[in-house]
Amino acid sequence: MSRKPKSKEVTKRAVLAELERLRQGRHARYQTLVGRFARCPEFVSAAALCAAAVNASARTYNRTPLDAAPGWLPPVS
Amino acid sequence: MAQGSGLLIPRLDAVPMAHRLVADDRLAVMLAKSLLELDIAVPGDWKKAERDPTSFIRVTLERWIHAHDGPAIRHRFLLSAVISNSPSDWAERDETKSNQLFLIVEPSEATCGCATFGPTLALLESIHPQLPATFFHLFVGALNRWLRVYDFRDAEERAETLREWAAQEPDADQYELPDVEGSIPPSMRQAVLIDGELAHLVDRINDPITKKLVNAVIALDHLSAQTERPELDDNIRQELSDCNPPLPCLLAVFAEGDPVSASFDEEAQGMMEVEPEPNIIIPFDPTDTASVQRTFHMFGVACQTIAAASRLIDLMPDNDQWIISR
Repeated sequence: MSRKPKSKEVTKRAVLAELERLRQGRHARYQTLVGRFARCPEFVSAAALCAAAVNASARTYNRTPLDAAPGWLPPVS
Repeated sequence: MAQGSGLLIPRLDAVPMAHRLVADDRLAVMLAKSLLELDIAVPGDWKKAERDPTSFIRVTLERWIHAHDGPAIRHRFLLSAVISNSPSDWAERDETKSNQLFLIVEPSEATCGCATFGPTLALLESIHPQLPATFFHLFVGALNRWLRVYDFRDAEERAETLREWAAQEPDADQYELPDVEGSIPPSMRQAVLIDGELAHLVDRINDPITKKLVNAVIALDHLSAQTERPELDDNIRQELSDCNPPLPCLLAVFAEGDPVSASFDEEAQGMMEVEPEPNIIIPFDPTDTASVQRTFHMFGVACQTIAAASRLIDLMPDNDQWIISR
């Protein structure tokens, strides 16, 4: 008679336990390298900073120099 | 791989077929837990959501809407409900409130429902001169507690603004402005019946359709007032200060193509120029089960109110069109 509610309760308890593991970061999905990276705000902001720095340096050193106007002396470095 | 006699598909037993990671799903996990503890969420949906807290919340929200008359809502309204960590797409997240989420309801695809009141008001006027205005204000007032309704008052306000602009022009008399005032049935100028008077009147109505309409609008008003929307604090108000007013979810006209409808069509062209504020914003703390329960109760009342309004429009004469989903 009480079989159905009991099995539902067990499922609820199991889901709650899994959610608790997720909350504490102990879930299997966070034990991978990518998982640990995604959970760590310092890792994520460090990676974002590096990406921004790479982009900025690409913009700085990848300029196409304009041709000097006719009659002008070329730039001396 | 050893050569077999035919084609072989390699099997990846016990290897997950998909990985899904969300950088910060802490609040989603907490909300999923609270929903399950409150029995708002169903454990069986965890598998259906592929054990992902965000999908689990989405499935639970869909289930909650369905349990609170979702099909009746979809019949006349095209709305979307989401849970987000900011009150609008443009608002920045308030970092000082790390445990704050928002339940948001807004029209999806900028679609507005429509209801024609003229024939209903004429029917009610034959019973009592004050009944049309009472019906209209009860209906619109009940729905306006949760969703924005565009009605003759919005149209009058717009007409007044246009009149003020035109008055400053040298050829002011050349402007043709919509005659909103002329389109309002005279019965709408009557005073509204108070509760006691209305209850007394309902008992004396013999016409079954009219009685049904009046009873339904009274029930709608009571349902809508079951709970109040939370006041948004100054920080949230500040975040929404650059938004346009909420998009109307229902256009209340007296007749098809009347000046109220024309005014709405004109005004609608600018409603999306700036991000509009959502119709419903309920801030809550996913880590606090009482807060989650209050929020979902409030959302349930909103759903049932919208569904009751949808069913009432079905009862109102000459409203066979504007149906979104059957």
